[in-house]
Amino acid sequence: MSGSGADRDWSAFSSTTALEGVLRQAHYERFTGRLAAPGSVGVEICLVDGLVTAILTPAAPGPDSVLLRSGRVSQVEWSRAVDTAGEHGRLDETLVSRSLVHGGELDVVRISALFDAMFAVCLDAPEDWEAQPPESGIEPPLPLVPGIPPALLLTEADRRSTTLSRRWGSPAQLARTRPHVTAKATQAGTSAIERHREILLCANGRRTPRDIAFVLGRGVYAVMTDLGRLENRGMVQIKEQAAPATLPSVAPRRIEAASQATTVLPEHAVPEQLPRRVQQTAARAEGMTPYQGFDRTRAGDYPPS
Amino acid sequence: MSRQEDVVDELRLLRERTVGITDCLVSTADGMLVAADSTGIQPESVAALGSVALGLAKRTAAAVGLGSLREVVTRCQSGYVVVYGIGENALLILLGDEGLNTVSLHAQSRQSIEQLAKLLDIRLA
Repeated sequence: MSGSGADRDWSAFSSTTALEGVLRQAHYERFTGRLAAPGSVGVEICLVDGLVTAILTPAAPGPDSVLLRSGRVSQVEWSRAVDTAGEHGRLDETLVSRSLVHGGELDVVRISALFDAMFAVCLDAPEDWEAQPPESGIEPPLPLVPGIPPALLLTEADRRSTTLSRRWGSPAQLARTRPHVTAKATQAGTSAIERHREILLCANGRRTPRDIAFVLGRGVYAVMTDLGRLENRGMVQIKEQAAPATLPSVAPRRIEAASQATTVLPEHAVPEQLPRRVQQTAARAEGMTPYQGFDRTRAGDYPPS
Repeated sequence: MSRQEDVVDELRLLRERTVGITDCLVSTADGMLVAADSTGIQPESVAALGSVALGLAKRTAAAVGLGSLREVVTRCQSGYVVVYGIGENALLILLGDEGLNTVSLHAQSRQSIEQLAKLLDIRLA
């Protein structure tokens, strides 16, 4: 047996799981294909020569989501690159050749997305895994070639889990919470860095850390640690609760996070008496394009002269 | 708890137990909003559009003879819009991010559709 990472110390893990066992075997056998968890919601680990090249999971944003949601690559440019690359082409090479992203930057995004996905999968790792041929299922959009030894990914997932446990309790429990901003975040004089402000805008009591990670195009672990820091500052509450106190019912017109975080986010501050504008501001904060029709109508441009 | 609150509660449960769902709405077949568990969207507009999408898809399914319509899935760059009929008189509209697994979603939604039909006194075929 040979290959990079083949001599890794598998005894370093604090827990023995089915996932660890199956990855260890796949690595030793230099397996090329997919490890799928039939009982779970679409978790697939793609390997080439025993190295992990991609992880498809709904639990963490992939590199494509990170690039798009963060605004690093625009949706129009992405679509063009996908069309150019074709069905079985190299999307990564196309993105780089079109100067949409630097090669090194793309590698950083792919590697960090892989580590984040493994961490997210380990939070609720399925017990049953089956090997599938490489061509089965959805092709991962930006696989990392060569991949990463699974032991390295598991060691890092273990470290992240331990870090979160030491500071904020069970990571699996934290992943299930739906944090919301507190009154302190709205107090005058409260400040937060831009990264935290964006999280505060998303923490509306409806989203889990995973949901926030998808909205912002960030890693789940990064969001969880930031939420922990914000809780320490008393700006979010991340205790598990049955349901948000202000459950929206029919036709909600208020955006909790946007209106509550106005002090922390002065550039998004909007008066309560303009509900449609509140909604559009929140939409912009979530990376969506607000509907332009109402503004045009209000501005008196309709009917067109 | 009123019936409408029960409907909102069922929508919230569906959103919380299904990874990737961000918003849930129930509307009448002609696009009038009944209840929504949503934020950041115009629920009345989405309800009306969902009704049109389902109607068009039903007509299309009938025209091509591929059997009755199961659901309408609109795949966007950063997520999905899925529309299910609740019997003939209402529909369930779900919005999800790109992590939403549309295959497992159908099993989760089926359970909610049955519960919503009970709450709205709709008989499912």
